[in-house]
Amino acid sequence: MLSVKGLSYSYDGKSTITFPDFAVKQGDTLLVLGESGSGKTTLLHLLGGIISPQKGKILLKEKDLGSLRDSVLDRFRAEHIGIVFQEAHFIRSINVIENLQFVQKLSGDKVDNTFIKSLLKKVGLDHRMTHKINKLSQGEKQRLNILRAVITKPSLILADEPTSALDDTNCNKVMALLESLTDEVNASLIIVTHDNRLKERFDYKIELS
Amino acid sequence: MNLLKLSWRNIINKPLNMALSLILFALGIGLITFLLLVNDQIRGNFDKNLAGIDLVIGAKGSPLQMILCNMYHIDNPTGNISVKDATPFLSVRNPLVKMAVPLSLGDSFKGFRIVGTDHKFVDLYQAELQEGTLFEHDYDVNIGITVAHDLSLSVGDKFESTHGFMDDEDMGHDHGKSFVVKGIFSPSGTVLDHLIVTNTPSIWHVHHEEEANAETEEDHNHHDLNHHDNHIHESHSVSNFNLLDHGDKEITSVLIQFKNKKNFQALSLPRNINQNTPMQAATPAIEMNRLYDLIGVGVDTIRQLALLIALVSGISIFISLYSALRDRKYELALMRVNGASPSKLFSLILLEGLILAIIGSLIGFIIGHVALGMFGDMASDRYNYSFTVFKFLKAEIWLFVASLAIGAIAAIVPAIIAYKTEIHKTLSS
Repeated sequence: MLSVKGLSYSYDGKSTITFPDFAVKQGDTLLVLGESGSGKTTLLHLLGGIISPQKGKILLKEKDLGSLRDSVLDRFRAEHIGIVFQEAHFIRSINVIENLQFVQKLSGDKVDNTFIKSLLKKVGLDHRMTHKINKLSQGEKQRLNILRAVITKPSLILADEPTSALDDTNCNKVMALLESLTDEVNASLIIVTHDNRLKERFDYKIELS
Repeated sequence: MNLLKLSWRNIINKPLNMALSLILFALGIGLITFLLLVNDQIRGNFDKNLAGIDLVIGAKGSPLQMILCNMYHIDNPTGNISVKDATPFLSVRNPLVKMAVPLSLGDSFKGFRIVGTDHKFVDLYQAELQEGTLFEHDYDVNIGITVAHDLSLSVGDKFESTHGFMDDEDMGHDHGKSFVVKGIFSPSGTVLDHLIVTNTPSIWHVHHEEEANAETEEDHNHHDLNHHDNHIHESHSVSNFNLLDHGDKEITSVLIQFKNKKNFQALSLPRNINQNTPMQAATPAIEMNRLYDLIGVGVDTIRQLALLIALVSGISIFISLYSALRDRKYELALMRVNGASPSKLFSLILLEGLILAIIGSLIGFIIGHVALGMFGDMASDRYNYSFTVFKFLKAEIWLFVASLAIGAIAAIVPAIIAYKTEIHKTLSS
């Protein structure tokens, strides 16, 4: 489903970050560990089609992300990739359910309110459906952040440091939710983090140095 | 949730910013709308009241004052002229004159002017009666529709006039005779709507009898009243009255329509009158253009002020969108991640500028028309004009297009910045 070969990236032509080759099958999970500055976020943005590889290839669903035109890449990303960002940002002028509906619409899908409501119920946000984002607690925002990444039923879910700011209890809760929702849409999950607590949860992991 | 809806939500999410932008925009557009409407309706009213009048002859003084007084019934008369002096122009034998209408002014009733004239005055404005009959005998009057409405007068009602043009009870005539409403004109949109029209002798009677009463009270009976009575107390009907038989009497002015406006003699007539008679002649078109020029300076200043407000409102929209953009850069980057194209972000911001401009201009149009209504109430009493609040101008469509352009121009820089949103840099920062 996803394969990465000979990938490297350089900012302003200075130091080059080289990434190991790896592949992920449909439904598999991968943990990418690395310290600050090791290129975790860069890898996540490369895999998410946010930046294009300068060297090497990323094949997702048999498409070479580096060879796609910007507009095609935008569409492809919206359809096949869901990203859980470290900071939970949303469109503040609209409410919880509208944020999710808008993401579905942008991906080119029809708005599926039944699916959205079922997931909101699953993550315990059904009572917050019509609330503005600024009314949510940090925990609720984090759950909504994860939910937004799966709402388009993508093939690949990328999560950037989903647990680093959480205590152990909440770390486990967030991971359980992330895994559960990923299963629900049968997506592959890649987590990039420096949080070593997650090591034990994953069989398949790579470390960036 | 489409882009339009999202734009709207983004705007109302910052109510203070929105209110400031809208207030400024609406004020600018409102002021321009008001000026356009006032200008159009004043010109329209002035033009309508020209009534094909080519020349006004009256007492020497300010020509503009004479025009405003005798055609628009705004200002005071410059004085009176004798019928004898005006006879050459009142005579049907004058080869230049198609129609000559004598006017005698000086009285009013509750602020509405009474005009002593003949039936040609009614023809001049192509007026029709809504009710009753045309004035025929002394003290018969026809009233304009505004007079009828405002004073609740009906056919058969009686009233006594006041000297001068103000509603001042101390200036009431004490002649014991009342005017009788014989007919009410249909609405004409001209100054006639605000006038009370009677025959010329009625005006003479009112003034003569008052003078006579005053003299009697002061016991100054040395005047030969019988002499006056021979002329004045004779009862007239419009059909048997010939103004030219009263050369010793006075009127205020004569309104002239030429047979041929381009005739050389007709064109040189005003100069001849001004140079060779104790009267003055003025051409309405020339005097009104002079008035427009005088008013134009003030109108231009207000128009420039309005344009300045519109410009400031455009800058306000720009600042509002620009500052919101800095606040929303992460949201825009997220939209890009979720599949929004750069042009979609461009459209989103542009729509926000346009929505502000549309709402601002709509509020502005309402303000402009409401202001005209308020101004109209005041001007109607003061200037004898009716203003129509619900008249919309073609220029308002252009103003709307211009306001959209201001909204679009104000939004274009923020929209370009949104278009160039760099997802990676924004999300990594």
